[in-house]
Amino acid sequence: MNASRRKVFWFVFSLMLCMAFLFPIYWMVTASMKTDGEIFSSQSSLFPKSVNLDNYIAIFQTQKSVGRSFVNSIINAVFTMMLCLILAIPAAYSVARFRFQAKKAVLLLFLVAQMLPPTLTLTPLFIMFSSLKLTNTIFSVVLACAASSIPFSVMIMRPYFLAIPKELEEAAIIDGCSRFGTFWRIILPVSKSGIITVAVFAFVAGWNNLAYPMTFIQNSNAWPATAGLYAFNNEYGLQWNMVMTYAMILLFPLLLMFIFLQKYMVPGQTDGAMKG
Amino acid sequence: MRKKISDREPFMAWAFLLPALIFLAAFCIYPVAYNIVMGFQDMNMMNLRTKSYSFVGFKQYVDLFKDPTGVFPNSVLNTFKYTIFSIIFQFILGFAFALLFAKQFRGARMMRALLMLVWLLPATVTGLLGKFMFADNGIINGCLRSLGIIQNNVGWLVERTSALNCAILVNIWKGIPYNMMLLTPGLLNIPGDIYESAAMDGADSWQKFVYMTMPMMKPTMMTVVVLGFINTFKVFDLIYVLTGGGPVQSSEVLASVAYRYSFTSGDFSRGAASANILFVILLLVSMYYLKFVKTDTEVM
Repeated sequence: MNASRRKVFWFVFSLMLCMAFLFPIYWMVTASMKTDGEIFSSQSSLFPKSVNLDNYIAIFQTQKSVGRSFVNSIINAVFTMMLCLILAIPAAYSVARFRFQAKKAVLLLFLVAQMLPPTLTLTPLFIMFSSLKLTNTIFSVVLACAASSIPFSVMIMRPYFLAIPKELEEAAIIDGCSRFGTFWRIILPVSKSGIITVAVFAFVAGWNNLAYPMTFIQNSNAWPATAGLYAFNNEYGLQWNMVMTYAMILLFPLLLMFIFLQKYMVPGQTDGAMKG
Repeated sequence: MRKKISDREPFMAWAFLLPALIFLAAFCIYPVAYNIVMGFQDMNMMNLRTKSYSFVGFKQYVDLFKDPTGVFPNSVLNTFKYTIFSIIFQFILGFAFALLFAKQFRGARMMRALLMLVWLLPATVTGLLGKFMFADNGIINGCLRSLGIIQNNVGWLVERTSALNCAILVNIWKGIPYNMMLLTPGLLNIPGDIYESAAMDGADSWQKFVYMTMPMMKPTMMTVVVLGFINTFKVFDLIYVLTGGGPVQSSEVLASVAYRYSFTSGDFSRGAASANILFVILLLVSMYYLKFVKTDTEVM
Protein backbone atom coordinates (compact mmCIF):
# COMPACT_ATOMS: atom_id res chain seq x y z
CA MET A 1 0.00 0.00 0.00
CA ASN A 2 1.34 3.42 -0.81
CA ALA A 3 1.05 6.32 1.60
CA SER A 4 -2.07 7.94 0.18
CA ARG A 5 -3.98 4.66 -0.07
CA ARG A 6 -3.00 3.91 3.51
CA LYS A 7 -4.44 7.25 4.56
CA VAL A 8 -7.69 6.45 2.79
CA PHE A 9 -7.80 3.11 4.58
CA TRP A 10 -7.27 4.74 7.99
CA PHE A 11 -9.90 7.34 7.18
CA VAL A 12 -12.54 4.76 6.33
CA PHE A 13 -11.60 2.57 9.28
CA SER A 14 -11.75 5.49 11.74
CA LEU A 15 -15.01 6.75 10.34
CA MET A 16 -16.64 3.38 10.91
CA LEU A 17 -15.16 3.16 14.37
CA CYS A 18 -16.51 6.62 15.25
CA MET A 19 -19.95 5.72 13.99
CA ALA A 20 -20.03 2.57 16.11
CA PHE A 21 -18.65 4.36 19.14
CA LEU A 22 -21.07 7.25 18.91
CA PHE A 23 -24.05 5.02 18.17
CA PRO A 24 -25.49 5.25 21.73
CA ILE A 25 -25.65 9.02 21.38
CA TYR A 26 -27.38 8.68 18.02
CA TRP A 27 -29.78 6.25 19.67
CA MET A 28 -30.55 8.79 22.39
CA VAL A 29 -31.13 11.62 19.93
CA THR A 30 -33.44 9.56 17.72
CA ALA A 31 -35.29 8.16 20.73
CA SER A 32 -36.15 11.71 21.73
CA MET A 33 -37.88 12.12 18.34
CA LYS A 34 -39.90 8.91 18.43
CA THR A 35 -43.58 8.67 19.30
CA ASP A 36 -44.90 6.44 22.08
CA GLY A 37 -45.94 3.91 19.44
CA GLU A 38 -42.46 3.78 17.92
CA ILE A 39 -40.69 3.46 21.25
CA PHE A 40 -42.96 0.71 22.55
CA SER A 41 -42.98 -1.39 19.38
CA SER A 42 -40.93 -4.55 19.78
CA GLN A 43 -39.04 -3.90 16.56
CA SER A 44 -37.39 -0.55 17.27
CA SER A 45 -36.41 1.14 14.05
CA LEU A 46 -32.99 2.56 13.37
CA PHE A 47 -34.46 5.80 12.07
CA PRO A 48 -37.31 7.80 13.59
CA LYS A 49 -40.36 8.20 11.35
CA SER A 50 -39.84 11.93 11.25
CA VAL A 51 -37.28 14.39 12.53
CA ASN A 52 -39.21 16.65 14.86
CA LEU A 53 -39.19 18.37 18.21
CA ASP A 54 -42.70 17.34 19.27
CA ASN A 55 -41.52 15.58 22.41
CA TYR A 56 -39.53 18.63 23.45
CA ILE A 57 -42.58 20.84 23.17
CA ALA A 58 -44.77 18.25 24.88
CA ILE A 59 -42.48 17.74 27.84
CA PHE A 60 -42.29 21.46 28.60
CA GLN A 61 -46.06 21.76 28.31
CA THR A 62 -47.11 18.77 30.35
CA GLN A 63 -44.30 18.62 32.89
CA LYS A 64 -43.97 21.98 34.58
CA SER A 65 -41.12 20.52 36.62
CA VAL A 66 -38.84 20.25 33.56
CA GLY A 67 -38.62 23.97 32.92
CA ARG A 68 -38.29 24.68 36.60
CA SER A 69 -35.50 22.16 37.05
CA PHE A 70 -33.68 23.65 34.10
CA VAL A 71 -33.79 27.10 35.72
CA ASN A 72 -32.58 25.61 39.02
CA SER A 73 -29.71 23.94 37.20
CA ILE A 74 -28.70 27.24 35.65
CA ILE A 75 -28.80 28.97 39.04
CA ASN A 76 -26.73 26.18 40.54
CA ALA A 77 -24.14 26.06 37.77
CA VAL A 78 -23.77 29.84 37.47
CA PHE A 79 -23.39 30.41 41.21
CA THR A 80 -20.99 27.47 41.56
CA MET A 81 -18.95 28.95 38.74
CA MET A 82 -18.92 32.44 40.25
CA LEU A 83 -17.93 31.24 43.71
CA CYS A 84 -15.20 29.15 42.17
CA LEU A 85 -13.82 32.01 40.12
CA ILE A 86 -13.94 34.52 42.97
CA LEU A 87 -12.21 32.21 45.43
CA ALA A 88 -9.98 29.92 43.38
CA ILE A 89 -8.37 32.42 41.04
CA PRO A 90 -6.83 34.71 43.68
CA ALA A 91 -5.78 31.60 45.62
CA ALA A 92 -4.08 30.20 42.53
CA TYR A 93 -2.30 33.52 42.03
CA SER A 94 -1.09 33.41 45.60
CA VAL A 95 0.41 29.92 45.32
CA ALA A 96 1.88 30.74 41.92
CA ARG A 97 3.50 34.09 42.67
CA PHE A 98 4.45 34.30 46.30
CA ARG A 99 6.84 32.46 48.51
CA PHE A 100 5.64 32.03 52.06
CA GLN A 101 6.11 29.64 54.91
CA ALA A 102 3.09 27.42 54.72
CA LYS A 103 3.04 27.24 50.94
CA LYS A 104 3.97 23.58 50.71
CA ALA A 105 1.27 22.66 53.18
CA VAL A 106 -1.30 24.75 51.31
CA LEU A 107 -0.42 23.12 47.99
CA LEU A 108 -0.65 19.70 49.57
CA LEU A 109 -4.06 20.64 50.95
CA PHE A 110 -5.33 21.55 47.48
CA LEU A 111 -3.83 18.40 45.97
CA VAL A 112 -5.45 16.12 48.54
CA ALA A 113 -8.74 18.03 48.54
CA GLN A 114 -9.16 17.66 44.76
CA MET A 115 -9.25 13.89 45.07
CA LEU A 116 -11.79 13.74 47.91
CA PRO A 117 -14.88 11.72 47.07
CA PRO A 118 -18.08 13.80 47.39
CA THR A 119 -19.52 10.96 49.48
CA LEU A 120 -17.04 11.78 52.23
CA THR A 121 -18.59 15.13 53.01
CA LEU A 122 -22.16 14.26 52.08
CA THR A 123 -23.42 13.31 55.54
CA PRO A 124 -21.67 16.09 57.52
CA LEU A 125 -22.79 18.69 54.97
CA PHE A 126 -26.34 17.40 55.19
CA ILE A 127 -26.28 17.81 58.97
CA MET A 128 -24.65 21.24 58.71
CA PHE A 129 -27.10 22.49 56.11
CA SER A 130 -30.04 21.14 58.10
CA SER A 131 -29.04 23.18 61.12
CA LEU A 132 -28.38 26.23 58.92
CA LYS A 133 -31.87 25.77 57.37
CA LEU A 134 -30.25 25.56 53.94
CA THR A 135 -31.59 22.17 52.93
CA ASN A 136 -34.30 22.30 50.29
CA THR A 137 -32.66 25.33 48.71
CA ILE A 138 -30.42 25.20 45.68
CA PHE A 139 -27.80 27.17 47.62
CA SER A 140 -26.89 24.15 49.70
CA VAL A 141 -25.95 22.48 46.42
CA VAL A 142 -24.04 25.55 45.26
CA LEU A 143 -21.92 25.62 48.43
CA ALA A 144 -21.16 21.91 48.24
CA CYS A 145 -20.34 21.97 44.53
CA ALA A 146 -18.09 24.99 44.94
CA ALA A 147 -16.26 23.38 47.85
CA SER A 148 -15.55 20.27 45.81
CA SER A 149 -14.52 22.25 42.69
CA ILE A 150 -12.27 24.93 44.19
CA PRO A 151 -9.19 22.77 44.89
CA PHE A 152 -9.05 21.44 41.35
CA SER A 153 -9.72 24.93 39.95
CA VAL A 154 -6.71 26.25 41.87
CA MET A 155 -4.55 23.50 40.39
CA ILE A 156 -5.83 24.21 36.87
CA MET A 157 -5.22 27.93 37.22
CA ARG A 158 -1.79 27.88 38.83
CA PRO A 159 0.23 26.92 35.72
CA TYR A 160 -1.32 29.80 33.78
CA PHE A 161 -0.06 32.26 36.38
CA LEU A 162 3.33 30.56 36.57
CA ALA A 163 3.72 31.10 32.84
CA ILE A 164 3.34 34.88 33.04
CA PRO A 165 6.75 36.60 33.07
CA LYS A 166 7.46 38.53 36.25
CA GLU A 167 8.69 41.54 34.28
CA LEU A 168 5.10 42.26 33.34
CA GLU A 169 4.15 42.84 36.96
CA GLU A 170 7.33 44.70 37.75
CA ALA A 171 6.61 47.17 34.97
CA ALA A 172 3.10 47.78 36.31
CA ILE A 173 4.32 48.28 39.85
CA ILE A 174 6.95 50.76 38.75
CA ASP A 175 4.21 52.66 36.98
CA GLY A 176 2.52 53.00 40.35
CA CYS A 177 0.04 50.17 40.24
CA SER A 178 -0.78 48.46 43.55
CA ARG A 179 -0.52 44.68 43.98
CA PHE A 180 -4.27 44.29 43.66
CA GLY A 181 -4.36 46.74 40.79
CA THR A 182 -1.70 44.73 38.99
CA PHE A 183 -3.60 41.52 39.57
CA TRP A 184 -6.84 43.02 38.31
CA ARG A 185 -5.59 45.04 35.37
CA ILE A 186 -2.52 43.16 34.17
CA ILE A 187 -2.61 39.56 35.33
CA LEU A 188 -6.27 38.67 34.85
CA PRO A 189 -6.55 39.99 31.27
CA VAL A 190 -3.57 37.94 30.10
CA SER A 191 -4.86 34.79 31.85
CA LYS A 192 -8.18 34.83 30.03
CA SER A 193 -7.92 31.32 28.64
CA GLY A 194 -7.14 29.87 32.07
CA ILE A 195 -10.07 31.71 33.58
CA ILE A 196 -12.41 30.40 30.91
CA THR A 197 -11.12 26.85 31.50
CA VAL A 198 -11.85 27.15 35.22
CA ALA A 199 -15.25 28.69 34.51
CA VAL A 200 -16.19 25.85 32.16
CA PHE A 201 -14.97 23.23 34.61
CA ALA A 202 -16.90 24.74 37.54
CA PHE A 203 -20.05 25.28 35.50
CA VAL A 204 -20.00 21.67 34.32
CA ALA A 205 -19.25 20.39 37.84
CA GLY A 206 -22.29 22.22 39.17
CA TRP A 207 -24.47 21.31 36.22
CA ASN A 208 -23.70 17.57 36.33
CA ASN A 209 -23.89 16.96 40.06
CA LEU A 210 -26.54 14.53 41.20
CA ALA A 211 -25.50 13.37 44.69
CA TYR A 212 -25.76 16.75 46.42
CA PRO A 213 -29.22 17.83 45.24
CA MET A 214 -30.58 14.33 45.73
CA THR A 215 -29.40 14.41 49.35
CA PHE A 216 -30.01 18.00 50.36
CA ILE A 217 -33.28 18.68 48.55
CA GLN A 218 -36.51 16.84 49.26
CA ASN A 219 -38.75 19.47 47.73
CA SER A 220 -38.98 18.67 44.01
CA ASN A 221 -39.58 22.33 43.17
CA ALA A 222 -35.97 23.10 44.08
CA TRP A 223 -34.42 20.21 42.14
CA PRO A 224 -31.93 20.85 39.37
CA ALA A 225 -32.35 18.93 36.13
CA THR A 226 -30.09 16.01 37.13
CA ALA A 227 -32.26 15.18 40.14
CA GLY A 228 -35.40 15.98 38.15
CA LEU A 229 -34.35 13.61 35.37
CA TYR A 230 -33.54 10.85 37.84
CA ALA A 231 -36.94 11.19 39.51
CA PHE A 232 -38.67 11.45 36.12
CA ASN A 233 -37.11 8.16 35.08
CA ASN A 234 -38.34 6.50 38.25
CA GLU A 235 -41.85 7.69 37.53
CA TYR A 236 -42.09 7.34 33.75
CA GLY A 237 -39.36 4.74 33.30
CA LEU A 238 -40.88 2.98 30.33
CA GLN A 239 -41.51 6.12 28.32
CA TRP A 240 -37.98 6.15 27.04
CA ASN A 241 -38.74 8.73 24.36
CA MET A 242 -39.67 11.24 27.07
CA VAL A 243 -36.80 10.24 29.35
CA MET A 244 -34.34 10.72 26.49
CA THR A 245 -35.96 14.05 25.62
CA TYR A 246 -35.38 15.22 29.18
CA ALA A 247 -31.81 13.89 28.99
CA MET A 248 -31.23 15.87 25.80
CA ILE A 249 -32.52 19.01 27.52
CA LEU A 250 -30.04 18.41 30.32
CA LEU A 251 -27.32 17.97 27.74
CA PHE A 252 -28.19 21.05 25.70
CA PRO A 253 -26.12 23.74 27.53
CA LEU A 254 -23.13 21.40 27.60
CA LEU A 255 -23.44 20.92 23.84
CA LEU A 256 -23.52 24.66 23.31
CA MET A 257 -20.39 25.06 25.41
CA PHE A 258 -18.75 22.18 23.59
CA ILE A 259 -19.35 23.88 20.26
CA PHE A 260 -18.33 27.39 21.23
CA LEU A 261 -15.67 26.68 23.84
CA GLN A 262 -14.14 23.57 22.24
CA LYS A 263 -10.57 24.29 23.18
CA TYR A 264 -11.40 24.95 26.82
CA MET A 265 -13.27 21.71 27.21
CA VAL A 266 -10.57 19.21 26.35
CA PRO A 267 -8.95 17.64 29.38
CA GLY A 268 -5.45 17.92 27.88
CA GLN A 269 -5.67 21.58 28.82
CA THR A 270 -5.58 20.73 32.47
CA ASP A 271 -2.55 18.48 32.16
CA GLY A 272 -0.33 20.81 34.12
CA ALA A 273 -2.85 20.97 36.92
CA MET A 274 -2.38 17.31 37.69
CA LYS A 275 1.27 17.73 38.40
CA GLY A 276 0.62 20.58 40.80
CA MET B 1 17.21 52.48 38.56
CA ARG B 2 15.25 49.26 38.39
CA LYS B 3 12.95 48.28 41.19
CA LYS B 4 12.60 44.53 41.75
CA ILE B 5 9.32 43.40 43.19
CA SER B 6 9.53 40.98 46.02
CA ASP B 7 7.79 37.62 46.00
CA ARG B 8 8.10 37.50 49.76
CA GLU B 9 5.10 39.51 50.79
CA PRO B 10 3.35 37.33 53.34
CA PHE B 11 0.54 39.80 53.83
CA MET B 12 -0.30 39.91 50.13
CA ALA B 13 0.09 36.15 49.74
CA TRP B 14 -2.42 35.49 52.50
CA ALA B 15 -4.76 38.21 51.34
CA PHE B 16 -5.15 36.40 48.01
CA LEU B 17 -5.31 32.98 49.61
CA LEU B 18 -7.45 33.40 52.70
CA PRO B 19 -10.94 33.73 51.19
CA ALA B 20 -10.57 30.35 49.50
CA LEU B 21 -9.03 28.76 52.58
CA ILE B 22 -11.78 30.03 54.87
CA PHE B 23 -14.42 28.73 52.50
CA LEU B 24 -12.73 25.34 52.25
CA ALA B 25 -12.26 25.20 56.01
CA ALA B 26 -16.01 25.57 56.45
CA PHE B 27 -17.32 23.38 53.63
CA CYS B 28 -14.54 20.87 53.05
CA ILE B 29 -12.01 20.49 55.87
CA TYR B 30 -14.52 20.73 58.71
CA PRO B 31 -16.94 18.23 57.09
CA VAL B 32 -14.08 15.78 56.49
CA ALA B 33 -13.03 16.03 60.14
CA TYR B 34 -16.67 15.73 61.19
CA ASN B 35 -17.03 12.61 59.09
CA ILE B 36 -13.97 11.00 60.64
CA VAL B 37 -15.30 11.71 64.14
CA MET B 38 -18.76 10.42 63.18
CA GLY B 39 -17.22 7.12 62.17
CA PHE B 40 -16.35 6.52 65.83
CA GLN B 41 -19.83 7.42 67.12
CA ASP B 42 -23.26 5.87 66.88
CA MET B 43 -25.09 8.84 65.39
CA ASN B 44 -28.27 8.26 63.44
CA MET B 45 -31.25 10.23 62.20
CA MET B 46 -33.07 9.62 65.51
CA ASN B 47 -30.50 10.50 68.13
CA LEU B 48 -29.05 13.45 66.18
CA ARG B 49 -31.78 15.81 67.34
CA THR B 50 -31.60 14.81 70.99
CA LYS B 51 -27.81 14.72 70.82
CA SER B 52 -27.91 11.38 72.63
CA TYR B 53 -25.19 9.74 70.56
CA SER B 54 -21.86 8.73 72.01
CA PHE B 55 -18.44 7.43 71.10
CA VAL B 56 -18.28 3.71 70.40
CA GLY B 57 -14.69 3.29 69.22
CA PHE B 58 -14.24 1.04 66.22
CA LYS B 59 -17.65 -0.58 66.56
CA GLN B 60 -18.95 0.78 63.23
CA TYR B 61 -15.97 -0.58 61.35
CA VAL B 62 -16.22 -3.97 63.00
CA ASP B 63 -19.95 -4.10 62.29
CA LEU B 64 -19.42 -3.19 58.65
CA PHE B 65 -17.38 -6.31 58.14
CA LYS B 66 -19.41 -8.52 60.51
CA ASP B 67 -22.76 -7.70 58.92
CA PRO B 68 -24.27 -11.12 58.03
CA THR B 69 -25.56 -9.88 54.65
CA GLY B 70 -21.96 -9.19 53.64
CA VAL B 71 -23.01 -6.07 51.75
CA PHE B 72 -20.02 -4.04 52.78
CA PRO B 73 -17.15 -6.44 52.03
CA ASN B 74 -18.90 -7.17 48.76
CA SER B 75 -19.07 -3.46 47.91
CA VAL B 76 -15.32 -3.13 48.57
CA LEU B 77 -14.70 -6.00 46.20
CA ASN B 78 -17.06 -4.51 43.62
CA THR B 79 -15.36 -1.13 43.82
CA PHE B 80 -11.97 -2.69 43.12
CA LYS B 81 -13.37 -4.84 40.34
CA TYR B 82 -15.17 -1.88 38.78
CA THR B 83 -12.10 0.32 39.01
CA ILE B 84 -9.50 -2.16 37.83
CA PHE B 85 -11.44 -3.46 34.83
CA SER B 86 -12.54 0.03 33.88
CA ILE B 87 -9.00 1.35 34.02
CA ILE B 88 -7.41 -1.53 32.11
CA PHE B 89 -9.81 -1.32 29.18
CA GLN B 90 -10.23 2.45 29.17
CA PHE B 91 -6.51 2.86 29.11
CA ILE B 92 -5.65 0.26 26.48
CA LEU B 93 -8.49 1.26 24.18
CA GLY B 94 -7.93 4.96 24.85
CA PHE B 95 -4.28 4.48 23.94
CA ALA B 96 -5.24 2.63 20.77
CA PHE B 97 -7.62 5.43 19.83
CA ALA B 98 -4.94 8.03 20.53
CA LEU B 99 -2.46 6.17 18.31
CA LEU B 100 -5.05 5.83 15.56
CA PHE B 101 -6.02 9.49 15.52
CA ALA B 102 -2.41 10.60 15.77
CA LYS B 103 -2.01 9.30 12.20
CA GLN B 104 -2.49 12.37 10.17
CA PHE B 105 -5.30 11.38 7.85
CA ARG B 106 -8.06 13.69 6.73
CA GLY B 107 -10.66 14.36 9.40
CA ALA B 108 -8.65 12.84 12.26
CA ARG B 109 -8.92 15.94 14.44
CA MET B 110 -12.59 16.36 13.70
CA MET B 111 -13.33 12.74 14.61
CA ARG B 112 -11.29 13.01 17.79
CA ALA B 113 -13.32 16.04 18.83
CA LEU B 114 -16.59 14.24 18.07
CA LEU B 115 -15.59 11.28 20.22
CA MET B 116 -15.28 13.66 23.16
CA LEU B 117 -19.08 13.99 23.07
CA VAL B 118 -19.20 10.71 24.97
CA TRP B 119 -17.08 12.15 27.73
CA LEU B 120 -19.28 15.25 27.80
CA LEU B 121 -22.42 13.37 28.86
CA PRO B 122 -23.25 13.87 32.54
CA ALA B 123 -23.11 10.58 34.47
CA THR B 124 -26.86 10.80 35.05
CA VAL B 125 -27.45 10.80 31.30
CA THR B 126 -24.87 8.07 30.65
CA GLY B 127 -26.53 5.93 33.31
CA LEU B 128 -29.99 6.38 31.85
CA LEU B 129 -28.75 5.79 28.33
CA GLY B 130 -27.22 2.53 29.52
CA LYS B 131 -30.48 1.62 31.22
CA PHE B 132 -32.34 2.35 27.99
CA MET B 133 -30.03 0.22 25.87
CA PHE B 134 -29.76 -2.68 28.32
CA ALA B 135 -33.53 -2.70 28.97
CA ASP B 136 -35.54 -5.83 28.41
CA ASN B 137 -36.87 -4.63 25.05
CA GLY B 138 -33.78 -2.48 24.47
CA ILE B 139 -31.52 -2.40 21.46
CA ILE B 140 -28.85 -4.69 22.92
CA ASN B 141 -31.28 -7.54 23.45
CA GLY B 142 -32.77 -6.75 20.05
CA CYS B 143 -29.42 -6.95 18.28
CA LEU B 144 -28.26 -10.09 20.05
CA ARG B 145 -31.56 -11.78 19.31
CA SER B 146 -31.54 -10.97 15.64
CA LEU B 147 -27.94 -12.15 15.41
CA GLY B 148 -29.06 -15.40 17.00
CA ILE B 149 -26.66 -15.09 19.93
CA ILE B 150 -29.47 -15.24 22.47
CA GLN B 151 -32.92 -16.79 22.18
CA ASN B 152 -34.71 -14.86 24.91
CA ASN B 153 -34.19 -11.38 26.26
CA VAL B 154 -31.58 -11.16 28.98
CA GLY B 155 -32.26 -8.99 32.02
CA TRP B 156 -28.81 -7.44 31.92
CA LEU B 157 -29.34 -5.02 34.77
CA VAL B 158 -31.58 -7.21 36.90
CA GLU B 159 -29.37 -10.30 37.01
CA ARG B 160 -26.90 -10.53 39.85
CA THR B 161 -24.24 -11.91 37.56
CA SER B 162 -24.35 -9.17 34.94
CA ALA B 163 -25.38 -5.87 36.57
CA LEU B 164 -21.92 -4.80 37.70
CA ASN B 165 -20.35 -5.92 34.43
CA CYS B 166 -22.81 -3.74 32.53
CA ALA B 167 -21.81 -0.78 34.69
CA ILE B 168 -18.16 -1.50 33.93
CA LEU B 169 -18.90 -1.69 30.23
CA VAL B 170 -20.74 1.64 30.27
CA ASN B 171 -17.93 3.24 32.22
CA ILE B 172 -15.29 1.93 29.81
CA TRP B 173 -17.22 3.48 26.94
CA LYS B 174 -17.41 6.78 28.81
CA GLY B 175 -13.71 6.74 29.71
CA ILE B 176 -12.10 5.85 26.39
CA PRO B 177 -12.27 9.34 24.83
CA TYR B 178 -11.01 10.90 28.05
CA ASN B 179 -7.98 8.60 28.15
CA MET B 180 -7.43 9.22 24.46
CA MET B 181 -7.43 12.97 25.00
CA LEU B 182 -5.02 12.83 27.93
CA LEU B 183 -2.60 10.62 26.00
CA THR B 184 -2.74 12.49 22.69
CA PRO B 185 -0.55 15.52 23.56
CA GLY B 186 2.22 13.20 24.76
CA LEU B 187 2.09 11.23 21.52
CA LEU B 188 2.14 14.32 19.35
CA ASN B 189 5.14 15.65 21.26
CA ILE B 190 7.35 12.72 20.30
CA PRO B 191 9.59 14.06 17.54
CA GLY B 192 8.90 12.31 14.24
CA ASP B 193 12.53 12.07 13.15
CA ILE B 194 13.41 9.50 15.80
CA TYR B 195 10.89 7.16 14.17
CA GLU B 196 12.44 7.81 10.79
CA SER B 197 15.92 6.95 11.97
CA ALA B 198 14.55 3.83 13.67
CA ALA B 199 12.83 2.84 10.44
CA MET B 200 16.11 3.23 8.59
CA ASP B 201 17.71 0.89 11.10
CA GLY B 202 15.02 -1.62 10.19
CA ALA B 203 12.68 -1.37 13.18
CA ASP B 204 9.12 -2.52 12.48
CA SER B 205 6.04 -0.77 13.85
CA TRP B 206 5.75 -3.03 16.88
CA GLN B 207 9.41 -2.51 17.82
CA LYS B 208 9.00 1.23 17.40
CA PHE B 209 6.01 1.13 19.67
CA VAL B 210 7.60 -0.98 22.41
CA TYR B 211 11.08 0.54 22.41
CA MET B 212 10.31 4.14 21.57
CA THR B 213 6.70 5.19 22.07
CA MET B 214 6.16 3.38 25.36
CA PRO B 215 9.26 4.62 27.21
CA MET B 216 8.67 8.20 26.08
CA MET B 217 5.05 8.06 27.17
CA LYS B 218 5.77 6.49 30.54
CA PRO B 219 5.30 9.59 32.74
CA THR B 220 2.06 10.55 31.00
CA MET B 221 0.80 6.98 31.18
CA MET B 222 1.47 6.79 34.88
CA THR B 223 -0.42 10.03 35.53
CA VAL B 224 -3.39 8.93 33.45
CA VAL B 225 -3.66 5.56 35.17
CA VAL B 226 -3.35 6.83 38.74
CA LEU B 227 -5.72 9.76 38.23
CA GLY B 228 -8.09 7.39 36.45
CA PHE B 229 -7.97 5.11 39.46
CA ILE B 230 -8.78 7.94 41.86
CA ASN B 231 -11.66 9.21 39.75
CA THR B 232 -13.11 5.77 39.07
CA PHE B 233 -12.81 4.50 42.61
CA LYS B 234 -15.17 7.14 43.97
CA VAL B 235 -17.93 6.36 41.45
CA PHE B 236 -21.42 7.14 42.66
CA ASP B 237 -23.75 8.67 40.06
CA LEU B 238 -23.27 6.13 37.32
CA ILE B 239 -23.88 3.11 39.56
CA TYR B 240 -26.71 4.80 41.39
CA VAL B 241 -28.55 5.67 38.19
CA LEU B 242 -27.75 2.56 36.16
CA THR B 243 -28.28 -0.27 38.65
CA GLY B 244 -29.12 1.48 41.91
CA GLY B 245 -26.61 -0.92 43.48
CA GLY B 246 -28.94 -3.80 42.71
CA PRO B 247 -30.19 -6.36 42.15
CA VAL B 248 -30.04 -7.39 45.82
CA GLN B 249 -27.08 -5.07 46.36
CA SER B 250 -24.94 -7.11 43.99
CA SER B 251 -23.51 -4.04 42.23
CA GLU B 252 -23.17 -1.82 45.27
CA VAL B 253 -19.89 0.15 45.46
CA LEU B 254 -18.31 1.97 48.42
CA ALA B 255 -19.79 5.37 47.64
CA SER B 256 -23.29 4.06 47.01
CA VAL B 257 -23.26 1.86 50.08
CA ALA B 258 -22.17 4.82 52.22
CA TYR B 259 -25.02 6.85 50.77
CA ARG B 260 -27.50 4.08 51.46
CA TYR B 261 -26.43 3.63 55.09
CA SER B 262 -26.69 7.37 55.75
CA PHE B 263 -29.77 8.32 53.82
CA THR B 264 -31.84 5.19 53.31
CA SER B 265 -31.27 3.62 56.71
CA GLY B 266 -30.59 6.94 58.45
CA ASP B 267 -27.53 5.42 60.05
CA PHE B 268 -25.18 8.39 59.73
CA SER B 269 -22.24 6.90 61.58
CA ARG B 270 -22.34 3.69 59.57
CA GLY B 271 -22.39 5.70 56.35
CA ALA B 272 -19.57 7.90 57.62
CA ALA B 273 -17.47 4.84 58.46
CA SER B 274 -17.95 3.43 54.94
CA ALA B 275 -17.01 6.76 53.39
CA ASN B 276 -13.94 6.93 55.62
CA ILE B 277 -12.70 3.61 54.30
CA LEU B 278 -13.15 4.93 50.77
CA PHE B 279 -11.20 8.02 51.80
CA VAL B 280 -8.30 6.08 53.32
CA ILE B 281 -7.87 3.95 50.20
CA LEU B 282 -7.89 7.04 47.97
CA LEU B 283 -5.47 8.79 50.29
CA LEU B 284 -3.00 5.92 50.08
CA VAL B 285 -3.17 5.92 46.28
CA SER B 286 -2.76 9.71 46.20
CA MET B 287 0.27 9.57 48.48
CA TYR B 288 1.86 7.03 46.20
CA TYR B 289 1.06 9.26 43.23
CA LEU B 290 2.47 12.37 44.90
CA LYS B 291 5.65 10.52 45.73
CA PHE B 292 5.87 9.42 42.14
CA VAL B 293 5.40 12.86 40.58
CA LYS B 294 7.78 14.35 43.11
CA THR B 295 10.61 12.13 41.99
CA ASP B 296 9.58 12.50 38.38
CA THR B 297 9.23 16.24 38.11
CA GLU B 298 9.67 19.14 40.42
CA VAL B 299 6.30 19.41 42.14
CA MET B 300 6.27 22.33 44.45
